[in-house]
Amino acid sequence: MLLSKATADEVIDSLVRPIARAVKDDRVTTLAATLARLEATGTLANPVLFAAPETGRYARRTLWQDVDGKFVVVAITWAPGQSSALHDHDGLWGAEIVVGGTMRETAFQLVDRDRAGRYRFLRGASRDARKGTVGTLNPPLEYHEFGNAGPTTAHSIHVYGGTLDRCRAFTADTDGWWNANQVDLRRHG
Amino acid sequence: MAETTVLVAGGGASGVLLAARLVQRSESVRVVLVDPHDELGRGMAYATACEAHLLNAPAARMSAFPEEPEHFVRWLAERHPGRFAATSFVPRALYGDYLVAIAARAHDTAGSRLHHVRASATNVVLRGAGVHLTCSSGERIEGDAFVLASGNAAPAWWPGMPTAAPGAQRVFASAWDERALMPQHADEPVLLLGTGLTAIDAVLGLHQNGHRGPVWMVSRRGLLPHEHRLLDAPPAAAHPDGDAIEDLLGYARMLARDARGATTWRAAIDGARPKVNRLWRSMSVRDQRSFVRHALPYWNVHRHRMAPETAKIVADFIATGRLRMLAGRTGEMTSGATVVRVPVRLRGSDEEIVLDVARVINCSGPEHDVRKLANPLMQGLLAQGSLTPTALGIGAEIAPNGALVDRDGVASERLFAIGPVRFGALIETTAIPEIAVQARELADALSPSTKRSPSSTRS
Repeated sequence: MLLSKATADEVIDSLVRPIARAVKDDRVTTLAATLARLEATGTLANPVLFAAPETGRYARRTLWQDVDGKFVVVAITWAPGQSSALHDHDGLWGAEIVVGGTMRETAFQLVDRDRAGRYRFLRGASRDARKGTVGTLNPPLEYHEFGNAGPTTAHSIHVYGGTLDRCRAFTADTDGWWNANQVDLRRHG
Repeated sequence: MAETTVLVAGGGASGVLLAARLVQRSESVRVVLVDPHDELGRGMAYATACEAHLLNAPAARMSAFPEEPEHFVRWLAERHPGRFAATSFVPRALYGDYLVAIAARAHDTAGSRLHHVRASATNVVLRGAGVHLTCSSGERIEGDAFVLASGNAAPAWWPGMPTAAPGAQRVFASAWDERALMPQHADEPVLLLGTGLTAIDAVLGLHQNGHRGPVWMVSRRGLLPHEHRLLDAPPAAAHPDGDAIEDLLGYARMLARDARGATTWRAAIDGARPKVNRLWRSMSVRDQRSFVRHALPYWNVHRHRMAPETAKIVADFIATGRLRMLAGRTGEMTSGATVVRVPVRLRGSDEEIVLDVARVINCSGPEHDVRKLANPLMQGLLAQGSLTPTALGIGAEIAPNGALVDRDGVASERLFAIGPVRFGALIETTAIPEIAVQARELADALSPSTKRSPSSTRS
């Protein structure tokens, strides 16, 4: 593949500038359109951007962290069957685009919190996200499950409007409520 | 005790919130609400049946009663348990149900003291010590005071828009016209004139009605509204110290440069909301004109934001190429048998493109020049000199207590306005929180037990 001859740094350089411009506009509509355009021109599907699949957990690689902390670009490689737990994005906005494989996203809406610090969600419809599908995060719409629902390795690019050092993953309790667990993302590349 | 009769023209949110206050405030107040709809409360904004048309503010900020901020959230929890949180952006149709319930409760409390005349108010005149109202039904009603609560005016005329052409209707003067959002063919190309919240509503409405074809949106600057972003723990509302609205914009921009600026400028602009009207009133006409020309479009897209759910759908439509934005001026449109041809001169270039679309829908905001309104009630008030256009040419002169100011500059003691009708005199007057406060203050001023001269009433 000709494209992969470019180094990862060169590819990252070519996508960071348009992404930075889109982030500055501060609208998910603009960021989604920019990611779709970069995907359509083949910039995002370059294998040099992605880590090799890992067993057990999806492989996450930070491609770019803006020095002012305005945005971060992450590439994720998903082996078949790998999925994130229900999680939030630390209140950040952003957009995520599938660049290969078939992902499935299930959005959740936060509707309640109890005194014990547990959460209740409304589960939204699941949708398949194929190459070119963009999803957006706009708090309070920042809770979802996202995973590889296809038979092959899947790849996705994620842009968040800030520094995503941590998030919360939720585990279901027996009574319909969910417990939140802090996740330190700095330990996951 | 002497009875006071208040005549209210318009039974949407403004009219109903005022009427509910008035009948609750004092047993010696009678209210006659004049509105052609069978049901009181929905008005234009909350009449939509489209589930995708959401409120532009979270439920927690939508209480109809400022002293009970949880009122709407509690109503939602009772009516639709487990479906919504205080941070949810709920369908406008549900808010319509809420207003209808408030109107019904007011009716129960008031009995015969609240009367609904199913007609349009067509003329009001000062007669003796009171007012005299004529309705489209021919009915004539006498009262002690009159309140104009007619809501948002019809959309402003879009330059180049053709008038009626033979054959199937292809050009719609208003997105609120039911037929406008009913495409003849699922794949027909549609052009929306405007890129604001009304145009976004049109995109969602077309989709709900089965439209799957390309949609173009055009406005001079091509600015989409910003998006709401609500955190679990929102940043403290900031209160800028500036004394002009330009300073507020500058302040918001400064905050946007923070690492967490994406959310803090929102807190700044919302935190400034209680002082915006005072700043606006203190500006010279020259400064107001300059603000309207240069800053208002930017102010609007930051202040009037779309729901996160809406942004999600719009982002998807833009990313897949179904929805395309243009910045530019439209030229003279020609409506043929099968298409409307629309030239667009793109902003910042000499390039002109020509769009052939099956349908053109005017999604511009309300007409703010009161002299251009077709509404006979407004025309009558203008002709009598009871309603005076502002020097700015936007809206009418209205005193801080809501009284209409006549052509001699005198604030009326019998004629008042509430809600979007005050736009121009005020800049924050179209959303529920402001209208709810206006309703409380106007009800206090019009109730006999506290009746004072309107000029001494606090704004």
